[in-house]
Amino acid sequence: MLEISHLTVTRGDTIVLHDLSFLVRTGEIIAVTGPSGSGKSTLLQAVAGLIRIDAGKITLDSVDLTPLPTHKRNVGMMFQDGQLFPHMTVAENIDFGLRMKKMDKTQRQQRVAELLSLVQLENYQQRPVNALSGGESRRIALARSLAPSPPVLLLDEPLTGLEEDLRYELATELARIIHLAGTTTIVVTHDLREAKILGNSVVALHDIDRRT
Amino acid sequence: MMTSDSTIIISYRRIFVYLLIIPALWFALFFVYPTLYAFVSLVSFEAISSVLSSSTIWRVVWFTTWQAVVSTCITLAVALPVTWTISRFTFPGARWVRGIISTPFVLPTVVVAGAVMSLLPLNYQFGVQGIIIAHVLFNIAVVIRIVGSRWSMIPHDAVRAAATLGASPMQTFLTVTLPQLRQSIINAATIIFLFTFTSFGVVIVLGGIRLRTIEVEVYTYAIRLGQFDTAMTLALLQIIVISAVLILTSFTLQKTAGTANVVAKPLPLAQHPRHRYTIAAIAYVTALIVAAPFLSLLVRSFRVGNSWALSGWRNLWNGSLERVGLDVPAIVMRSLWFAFLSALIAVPLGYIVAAASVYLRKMRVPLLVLSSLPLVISAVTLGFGIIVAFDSSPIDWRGKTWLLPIIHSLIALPIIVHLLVPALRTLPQSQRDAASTLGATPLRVWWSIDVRQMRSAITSAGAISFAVSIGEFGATSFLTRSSTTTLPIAIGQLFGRPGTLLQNSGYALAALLAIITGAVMSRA
Repeated sequence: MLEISHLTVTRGDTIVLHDLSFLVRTGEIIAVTGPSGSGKSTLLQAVAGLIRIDAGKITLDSVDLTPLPTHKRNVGMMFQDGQLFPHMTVAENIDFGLRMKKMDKTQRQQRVAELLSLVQLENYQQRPVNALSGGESRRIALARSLAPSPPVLLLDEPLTGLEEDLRYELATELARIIHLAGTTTIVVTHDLREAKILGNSVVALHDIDRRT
Repeated sequence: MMTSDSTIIISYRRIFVYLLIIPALWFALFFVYPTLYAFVSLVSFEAISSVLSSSTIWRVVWFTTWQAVVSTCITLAVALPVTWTISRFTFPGARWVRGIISTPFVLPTVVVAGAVMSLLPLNYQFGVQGIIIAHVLFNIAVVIRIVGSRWSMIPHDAVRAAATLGASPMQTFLTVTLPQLRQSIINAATIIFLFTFTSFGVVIVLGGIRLRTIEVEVYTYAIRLGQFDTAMTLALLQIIVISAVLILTSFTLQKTAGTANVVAKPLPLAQHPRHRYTIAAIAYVTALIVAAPFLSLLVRSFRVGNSWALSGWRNLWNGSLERVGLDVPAIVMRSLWFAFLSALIAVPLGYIVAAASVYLRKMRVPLLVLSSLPLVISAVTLGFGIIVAFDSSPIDWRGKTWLLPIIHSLIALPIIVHLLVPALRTLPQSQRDAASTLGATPLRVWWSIDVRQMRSAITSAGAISFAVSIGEFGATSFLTRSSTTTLPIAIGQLFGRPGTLLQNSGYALAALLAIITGAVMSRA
């Protein structure tokens, strides 16, 4: 269970998140929506430990994540545009998190094949990532973030920049994969339809008075 | 394609084919002829075997190589952390940090050497440590420019992605960042190696009588010992090494996979989750280390013995340095005049070469290669070639005053061409076509569209050629006479003479040259 309590993040004189508290039960998929600048991405960055928070606490299964650096939090994240590593092949990208966990080679190869099968791109192992289409690169990015089996997955506008038809088709596909993986997930999107496809429940971040 | 075949481009091509004759003749007469003539007339089998069998020369080659390797490694070690901070983060004073760290590169080598000398204790002023410190100070800017621009294109989210996959900051650097920086680091290291391998001004000032690079040895054999054939053979040896390094590094060239030419906006450091103070400290401390020798230079120009005094500065103007053959006010005016003339020659000729390489696509590679030759054939070799080739009627020009601004403009040519080519390429062809359809003649199109939009690049080119000329030391050392002494030569002479007062004036003159160069380069 992921618990966010009294989270406050400021940037200069602007309050981005103010005293935010909510709870995501194990296996639940929450979609967070809100207008641009409402702090959706900041929320994910705070959970992943990518930014400094001003107040509050983030716990995962009663373990306080707040003092831990990003690489020790065991929180998977899929970024806008996928952010695949351009100097690695598809397989090397998916394998990256497994290598960081120091898994042995046979296990890693099995897991990479398993994930490629999950995202239905079995024959893509040795492809360079710059040869992938927009939809394919998002699926590989999802596979990469799921590979180390993180207890929590964060998806930051995972389908931004894709054409509308492809976006909703891929949203259904991503929802299927995440449900199969059974990972506790927070997905951030500005598109309500996308949020409804991806999440079990939808949370809207309200506008707050942002002056400190 | 419509754009490449438009009428205006066809007219431009025709015009630049004719105009190209001017820089071609200038380049052939003042660069190709003297260097080729000197090589052909002086390099012989006997000279080569004599050079190759000399243990003294091999010691010089060994010193030249190892000091260049060590200088390159230390420069990378010092520059990479600060390059990371200023290309990835914004923080209070970041622009100042960048400005301070980039400044030594545009300063004359004798000023950088003088600054390092002013900081070192008396017993350590002449030695390899000073040479390496000066090389590092001078070249940090190369890393910031080349590696920093590549680093700033790696998306922040790519680095964050690695962290969310469990990679520590060091693992992220080694597995995600470094492979994407590899080519830019090799490029920067190659340039630094070549700069330090051919180091002249720094080694003349800080090397004392013991330490000599090949470049200094060429000067020693040519001017002090009068052994022209040995000097030219050494110059040839240096060119072979430089060419070999360039060929070797060209094999490492690779297109960085999936490189997006989009700059990732630096992140406010205040938002970084940890180590904020360490990151800021890297930037501030490096800037302080780089600034320290120059502050020391300024302070030392006001110190005589243990007391404060203005005598170092006063002596520059009251004629007391004339007893050592230096009329400083005349030298300052002469240097400014040479620099102005050099810019006046280099910018139009550089513009013609750059424009021709953009408009005449088949000529692009040969033009860029030829105009880069002054980087491969060092200034010392060029100066030496001039005194050998231009020594008999009807071209007995080696003592002519006008030769200096011409040679300075040749040395500035590669920088100007490489500055103007990208600026010319960014001009949209459609704007020229639009002006043309509105009735503008090719000359009018060139003036209204090309020149007016290139104003800042042309101003930068002028400022850079001015700075190159006013700080040029290598070729000038060969060509200068007492009536044509320039500022860097005067500084070198003051540093080379015994006596606190003379050294004091050397510091003052170096500080003055630094101020002039800084003021000019602020326009670039």
